[in-house]
Amino acid sequence: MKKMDYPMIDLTDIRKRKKIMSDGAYGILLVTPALIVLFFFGLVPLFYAINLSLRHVDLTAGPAAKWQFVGLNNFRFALNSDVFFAASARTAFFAVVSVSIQMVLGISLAFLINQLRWFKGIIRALFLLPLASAPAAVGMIWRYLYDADFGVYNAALQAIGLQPLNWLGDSNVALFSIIIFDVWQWTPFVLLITLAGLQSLPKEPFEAAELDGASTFKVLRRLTFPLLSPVLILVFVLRSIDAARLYDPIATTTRGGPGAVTETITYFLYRVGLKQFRLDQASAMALIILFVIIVFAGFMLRRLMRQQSERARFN
Amino acid sequence: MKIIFKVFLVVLLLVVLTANVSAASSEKVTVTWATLAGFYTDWAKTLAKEFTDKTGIDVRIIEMDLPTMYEKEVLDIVGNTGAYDIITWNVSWKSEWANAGYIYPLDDFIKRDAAEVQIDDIAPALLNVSGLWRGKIYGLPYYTFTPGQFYRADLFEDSEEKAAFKAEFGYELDIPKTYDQMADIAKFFRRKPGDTLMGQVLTKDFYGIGLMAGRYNHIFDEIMTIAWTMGGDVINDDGTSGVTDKPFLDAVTLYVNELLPYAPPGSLSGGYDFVIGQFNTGLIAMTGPMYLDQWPNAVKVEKNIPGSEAGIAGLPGGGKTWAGAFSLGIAKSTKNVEEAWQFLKWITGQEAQRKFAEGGGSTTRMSILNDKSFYMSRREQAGHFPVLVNVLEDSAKNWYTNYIHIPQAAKIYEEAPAWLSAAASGTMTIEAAMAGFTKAINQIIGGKATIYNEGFLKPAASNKPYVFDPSVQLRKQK
Repeated sequence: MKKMDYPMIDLTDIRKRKKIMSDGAYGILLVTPALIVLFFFGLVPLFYAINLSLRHVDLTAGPAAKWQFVGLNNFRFALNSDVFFAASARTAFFAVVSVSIQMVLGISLAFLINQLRWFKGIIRALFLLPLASAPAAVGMIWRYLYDADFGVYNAALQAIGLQPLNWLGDSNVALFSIIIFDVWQWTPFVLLITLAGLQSLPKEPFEAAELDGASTFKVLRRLTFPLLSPVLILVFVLRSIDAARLYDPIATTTRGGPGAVTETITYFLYRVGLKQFRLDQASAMALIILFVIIVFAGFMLRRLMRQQSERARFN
Repeated sequence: MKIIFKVFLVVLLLVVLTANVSAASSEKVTVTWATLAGFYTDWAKTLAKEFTDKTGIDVRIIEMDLPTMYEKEVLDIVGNTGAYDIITWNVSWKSEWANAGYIYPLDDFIKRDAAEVQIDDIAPALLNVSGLWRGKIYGLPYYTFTPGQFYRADLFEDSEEKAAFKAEFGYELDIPKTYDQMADIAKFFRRKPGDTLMGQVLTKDFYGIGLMAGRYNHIFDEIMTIAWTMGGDVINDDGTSGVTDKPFLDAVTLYVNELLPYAPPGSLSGGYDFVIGQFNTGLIAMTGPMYLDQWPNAVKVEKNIPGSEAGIAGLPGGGKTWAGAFSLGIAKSTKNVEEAWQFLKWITGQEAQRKFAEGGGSTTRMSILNDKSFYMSRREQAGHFPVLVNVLEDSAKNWYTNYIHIPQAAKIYEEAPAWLSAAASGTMTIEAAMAGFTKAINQIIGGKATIYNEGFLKPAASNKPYVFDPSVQLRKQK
């Protein structure tokens, strides 16, 4: 056999060459831009809000007004405010109902679309439309669709012999009208994430289950949903946080009315902070809500994080 | 290395070019005007170009929706960003901004340029209410929304309807002179499918009145108008809240129990635009207190409903309503005070105001409002002028409210819709809603407000009560 001449690489030279940067430091360098953004747009406003919440701040009191330190007075005000608790309870109700419907509808539609053989891409793209639309513009359109005297929905109801509804003016109906709007806009989000999760599931366990003769229901219960659960939990948490921050549909349709039946906590904070310009009270209330959301999200994600770390250990 | 050097050269070139451009453009002053979005601003954009051609001062117009205009402007003037040179305000906002020192007093400018400003030509009621604070003028009004009432003159003058009304209520059907009469008329004209209206059988509901009962500031405008007529006010003479006093409660009760039941269901979520839509599509017989500047929209009913006629009238309280206008002032954060004043003076001046009126705008200049040759030939744009003058003249003599003389008026204005909507929608009883409103007012004013009404006189008790004179109306040519 002919001996092949290969160029010799002097490994001792590479080993001796000084490292410019360790792997750890290089990793930190890569995430630094994101950390800077997070710091300036996340942490600085948070600390500023904490500072405001401990002072008396009326933004329209004039340039000479001082922001006196008042300790926990603003938190006491919030915790003694019936309006704050009512808005919070209303927001919790809205989130539970709206997100539940979105999850059921979104998951069902994802399964349906996953079974399709044709036009899957087009249908997926169509479902993107509500998500891609500007919330304020869409809200204005729904405002007119819902109008009790001129709206399309009531015209449709009357055309099929049903009584029209006062969608935004009836205190028993208005919040559900907002829920319908929210479901229309955000079910596609649940659908698309669930569909992506479904399409990324490994095929082997399902092939094995088919060979074993498992029923569809058993496959769903023992395989599909357990494998999908991290995705579903994440979607549920994200949608719940978003639902708690609901603002655009309220601002463009009911402005919190009739009365206060659609006044969510974010809209109430907007009223306190940007109409009354009591940034101190609004900051205190916002921090209380932030705490509740963090506890909720932490609880929900705890199981998910445990699952992920177990999986990583196993791998 | 070569690539880095080339990139450096390109960047340097870009910096040099940009610097030259900005140096050139910085010689021209641009004045930024924050104002209300709508057809009034479309007009203003056209006129702003004329101003730039005359003076070389560029004008940039920032349009804002009314519901969010207050906070956007406050954030700028409080933050001292200088983003807006000229700001626009609603009646209720002026006292807060003037008191806090966020806007310039204009007296020296007005004195210096008196010949151009012609301050006496501005409707006195409008200047007092929306420009004056503690003896100084802070703004000039440029567009008035003073309320009156629109009604279907053809319905009111139909012989069958008149006879039926007299049989039911015992007096002649006419423009209401009191709010009780307004309630009677609203009830009378509420018809269901199968009922007749002017001898025609109806196939859908027809309503007696349109109201702005949604959770917008407009509900406050409506109810305050009724309250002032009945002797009520948001702030009493001693600075305490007046919304749980009998006159105010009576006003809210009349609105909720005697007017609202005869309004379309959409009233509970609608504002002025929906009421005008209800009127000009023939769904209602009349409006409640409605901004007279909406006349060009209201009169469209004459095209939409054959044989109909839109009537305009003063309200039962006449001038006891919002002698209201959007006014312009100069933000203290501006870096272009003189240029801002030049534009402000021009856009509120006679020439620009006349062009505004030609386009259908409600001017604040009495010489134009009183110009018969102007409005007689433009009924669809300016047909409301004679009634507007009638109301403004009464307002100057007979309207006074403590409310606009306290610095917290803006906060109360923004807080009011929540409570009035609660009463209107039935989610709270009237008493509970007004008790909640009082609590909110007390938090805002700290229990008692200081009223700065120096130079303002309350109307004499001996003044004759307002009676609308129908001869001032500009009727449709038959």
